[in-house]
Amino acid sequence: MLKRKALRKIMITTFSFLIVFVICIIPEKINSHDNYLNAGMDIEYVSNLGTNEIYLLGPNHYLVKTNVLLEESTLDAKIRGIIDYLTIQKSTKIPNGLSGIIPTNTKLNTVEIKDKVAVLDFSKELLDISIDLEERLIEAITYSIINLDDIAGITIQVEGNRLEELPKTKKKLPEILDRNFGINKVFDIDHLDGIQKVTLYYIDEINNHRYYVPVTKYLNDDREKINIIIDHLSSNYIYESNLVSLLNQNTELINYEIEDEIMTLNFNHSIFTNDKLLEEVTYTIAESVFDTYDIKSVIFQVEGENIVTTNKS
Amino acid sequence: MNTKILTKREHEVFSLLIMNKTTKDIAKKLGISEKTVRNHISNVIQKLGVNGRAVAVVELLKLKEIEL
Repeated sequence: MLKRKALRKIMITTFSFLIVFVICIIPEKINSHDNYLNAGMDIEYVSNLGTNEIYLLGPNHYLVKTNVLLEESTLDAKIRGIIDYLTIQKSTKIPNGLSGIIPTNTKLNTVEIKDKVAVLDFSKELLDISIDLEERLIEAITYSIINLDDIAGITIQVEGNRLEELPKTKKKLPEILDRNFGINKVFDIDHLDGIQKVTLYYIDEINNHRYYVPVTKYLNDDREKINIIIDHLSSNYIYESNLVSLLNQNTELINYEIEDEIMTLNFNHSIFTNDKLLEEVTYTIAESVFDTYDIKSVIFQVEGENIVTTNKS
Repeated sequence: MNTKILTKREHEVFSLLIMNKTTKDIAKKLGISEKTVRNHISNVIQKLGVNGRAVAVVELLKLKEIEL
């Protein structure tokens, strides 16, 4: 009986050692092969995908900025990829809570690019847009396409003819659409003094995810635009229902400087939240600056000390 | 079909008005009388069916007739 027990123990031990041996030795043998993938080695992914920023429609009818994957091939293919994302029910890859805005079944007939202007010719279905979304439609296409490198503006055509006005309200459209067209526009003008426009970036939370929302405001304010930007963003102004800014209320822009396409902004300590400069804060300020000025970098200082630099993407 | 709302002169007047130029400045700049400037402005206000210069400017911005 004891002998049998001892034999069984020996067998179990031997078998266990055998398993451990196999686990330890076999991978080593595989690893000795020249082509094995070592975690420490650089892995080169063979992929043509790149990230692009486009503007999709949020639940409150604002256009929100979001990143999507696009094939990194020709400019023509990228434009077609963006238009697919913007077309309702054409892409299944857009985030929950957001949607395309180009009417279903709209086709992009041709794309021609000349002198950094893309001429997009659509099928007539593009005109099947509701009155309350027709301006957003133009804004979404314009802002999404001009985000591409090498595209400064677009012209929209329908079945070969330039779209000279919005389909329903018949508001005029410029021949070349660019950032001057504005996005998610708000008019807050009550007299003729100091009429200016600035584009401010707010934050919207949709399905527990934060998105950036640009809003072009027309207002009476004769101050320098950077002062308007900081003032509006620090007022924590909740524009209509959901748009917010995380820039603290007591934040003051002590001074600023523009040199060689770099804007240096010097703030007081109130810009910090729990001793940190929030990414949302630098992003909303920097993007508002990039949309308003011809600036490539924004340096954030607090009481004269450099904290972070944000470059135009 | 001509979709323009403003005549060339009205466009010139409102493009200066949006830059906060006075009636006097506009008259001087365009070489016309102040009364003619006021006429152009009131014609546009009437055409748009609004009740003041500022509202007319907002409408013209919305209509993309003038740009900042």
